[in-house]
Amino acid sequence: MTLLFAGLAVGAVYAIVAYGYNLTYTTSGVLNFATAHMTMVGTFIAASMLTGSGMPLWVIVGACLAVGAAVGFLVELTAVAPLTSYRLRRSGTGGAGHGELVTTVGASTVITGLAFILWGSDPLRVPLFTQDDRFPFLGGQIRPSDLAVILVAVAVGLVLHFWTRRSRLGLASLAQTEDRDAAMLQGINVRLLSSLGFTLAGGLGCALGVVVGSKTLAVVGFALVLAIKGFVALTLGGVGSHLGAMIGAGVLGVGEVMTARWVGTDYRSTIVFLIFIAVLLLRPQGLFGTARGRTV
Amino acid sequence: MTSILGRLPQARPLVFLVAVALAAGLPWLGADAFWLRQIILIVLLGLVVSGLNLTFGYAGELALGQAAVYAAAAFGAGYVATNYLNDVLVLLVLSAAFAVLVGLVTGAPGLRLGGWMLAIGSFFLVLLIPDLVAIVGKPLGGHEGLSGIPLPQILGQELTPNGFFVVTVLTAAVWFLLFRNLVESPRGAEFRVLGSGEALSSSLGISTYRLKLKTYAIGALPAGLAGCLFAYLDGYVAASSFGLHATLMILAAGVLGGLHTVYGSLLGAALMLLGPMSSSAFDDYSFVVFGLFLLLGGVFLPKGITPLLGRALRRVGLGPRPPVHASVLPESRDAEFAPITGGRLSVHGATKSFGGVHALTDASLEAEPGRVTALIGPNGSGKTTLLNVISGYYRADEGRVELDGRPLDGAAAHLRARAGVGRTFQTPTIPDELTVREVVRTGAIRSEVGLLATVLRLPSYWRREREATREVDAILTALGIAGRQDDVAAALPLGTRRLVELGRALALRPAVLLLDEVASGLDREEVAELGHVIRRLRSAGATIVLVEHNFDLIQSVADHVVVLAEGHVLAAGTAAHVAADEQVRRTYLGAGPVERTARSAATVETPGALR
Repeated sequence: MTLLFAGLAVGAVYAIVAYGYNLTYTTSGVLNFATAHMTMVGTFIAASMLTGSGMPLWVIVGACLAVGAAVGFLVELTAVAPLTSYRLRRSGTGGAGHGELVTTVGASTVITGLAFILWGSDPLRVPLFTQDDRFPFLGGQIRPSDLAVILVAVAVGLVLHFWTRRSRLGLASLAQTEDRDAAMLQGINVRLLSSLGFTLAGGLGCALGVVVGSKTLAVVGFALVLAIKGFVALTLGGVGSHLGAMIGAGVLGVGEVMTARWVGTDYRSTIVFLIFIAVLLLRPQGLFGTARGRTV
Repeated sequence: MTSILGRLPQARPLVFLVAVALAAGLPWLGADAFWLRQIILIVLLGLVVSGLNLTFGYAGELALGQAAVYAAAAFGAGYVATNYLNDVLVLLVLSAAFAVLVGLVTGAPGLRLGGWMLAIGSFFLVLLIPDLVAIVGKPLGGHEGLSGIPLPQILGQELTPNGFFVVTVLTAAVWFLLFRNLVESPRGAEFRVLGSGEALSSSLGISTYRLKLKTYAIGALPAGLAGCLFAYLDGYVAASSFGLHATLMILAAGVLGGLHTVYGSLLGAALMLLGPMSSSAFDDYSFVVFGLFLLLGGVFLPKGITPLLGRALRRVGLGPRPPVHASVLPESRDAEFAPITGGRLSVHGATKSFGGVHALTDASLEAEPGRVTALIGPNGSGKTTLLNVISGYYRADEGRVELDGRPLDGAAAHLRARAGVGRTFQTPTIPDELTVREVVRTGAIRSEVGLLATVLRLPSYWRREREATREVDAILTALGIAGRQDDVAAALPLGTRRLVELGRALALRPAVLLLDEVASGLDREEVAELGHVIRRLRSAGATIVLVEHNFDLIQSVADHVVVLAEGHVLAAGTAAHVAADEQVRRTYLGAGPVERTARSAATVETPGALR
């Protein structure tokens, strides 16, 4: 049970990143490589504000929201919008969206570099819980930070899932994913939607960094690992589905922790990689995605 | 002045030889050890980046695992050199073979999905390098790295540092020569075709599966060569040399140098290693600078700086001048098309549904040689679905497709193209940067000579070239676009691009020609010109299936018209017969009640697939 909880907590962190991917993908058709970097920034803000200043939690979360939203907005403005508006998507690097890979990787690298300059390369503690010792829970042992991450990830996932299906913005996003041009003709402001999606994903990802950091510490190099494993979780669950991302991430986290425990720490990422390849080969649409026809 | 400089481009082999000789001779021209080392590093990075140029630049495949292949080859070569066999030349060959293997394995996710899945998969692999080295443990030196790699030897003779420098330069020279020969050939055009989408490559009879494998294999090869040389350079290999930093450096060098270039990779590598990045003052900012390079390069210089340099060179009289543009309208020539052996296409009871939407229900069609069969119907009536069922992009749930009595049903799209199903696309799909002549030439790709004959420019290559040139000449002339043969096709007006697509489909020597809304977006004059072309194709014996909205064009060319509505065949007959049909008039020619249901089906036809 203890191991299961630890795995779910790892998965919860991946899930939080996967939601961010989903948010930008559904609103702008772009998988923002810098998603996990927002969360990384959040962990650092939380680390510096929680240490010493004695500010109330809501101020810190608010600050993260604001910073993340600003960064997300800027990333969209500099790395995505120019490519869309100049119609460069199809030229230069081949297929649609390939240009965005280069530019969002660029944006993520700039964020990494800035975080490195601001906060250095040493891991910082995020003392959200003053006492973070394991306590007995449901027949196992769990840390408060782990429990918090799991609960937050599940709650956010459910909210996003229902919100996408009910709200105007969510439905507009779904329409955009289905057919961007058709959505535009229906009066959906695709430009605004894209900007909004990045801002929202940035703010959310950054704010969740407060909880994530309490579990993982604040480390610069962490963002890249998260970016990739979050994406793997997303692939497992099926791109576009928040619920799928949540379950995919859970499976991934538990699998990883079990591997580390029973096979060896050096193998944990390798096993994740093999799972990733296997899923892509056997069920490319993910466990919860739907297969799509091809476009001509 | 231009008389001397203007002749330089024709003397390219000579320029290449002189440049290589100069580079290899640098140790004797006074370059010191520091510079020789810098140049070796630039050459190694340039090699790795040129692999990225092939996969990402030309073929549009996001295989970014070059750093992983580089690492695999370096560790492999270092291990073999230390324990078994120390000979640079043998190890270069072995490393290349090993790299090809690694490239194929890491490309696996790309085969099914491509795009982002491949990108993340390859990034992931780079992250795994330290783990994998640790798992293998002692033979690779574990966390400390593999040290004690002996000095390089050839046939038992130990190489001097200058000798190693020469080997490095010559290895790179051979690679870049073969790479140039590959990308500047019809075989190389295949990669650009793949970069424009799998739909296009399979419509030209190219097996995407095999072509992707080929891309991953060839793209990994130079990283293998570089890895082997890297192991010898310092006699020491550690996992930390191939991490994120290396991956970003490779990507940034590629983007800066220009992903669609042969030698741009060397320029990008030089900028990365000698530019501001090399000074230690930038150490703290190195990630920010890398990131800005990628961000700004990706936004403002999607083609890198090499093309800019090329333009600058042309301005001072060097390099080939771009051809002057001719008139905007396609020239109307009456040259005859060479006789075409059309086939008989029959579709019986094709049925296809997507989820709950019935896109096609029991649709049948007969198209005969020397006749134009038109397919009309409102948006979402199933025209394009039917076309896709014929060309193999969709498998019909029920029904048969036959060409000259041979069933096509089980065959994949590229096999159908080879069997003689040629087509054009609603939105012309033309690879960037290819000229009109080159695009039309890509239609004849399936009968190309092999890879080896191409990169070595064997006599069989030139024979095939001459033969293909004649074919393409005939097509260009008959279509009236011969005057624009050297223009970049993707930049031409829509009407001309449609003719170019038609020419490409003709180069395939199709038994049946599927034209998907060829007249949409054309002005009256262009439509008339197109009608003229189609009529001449018909007299040449082609079997033509025309999906069209423009009823004037249909009346002027179609021998037989099939009307689709909501996936059913509503009516069939001559244009006059169909136009007189009461039901057709109600649902199609005047906007009737069917129009409203069109939207739901239309969204199914164009799903935004994740790439």
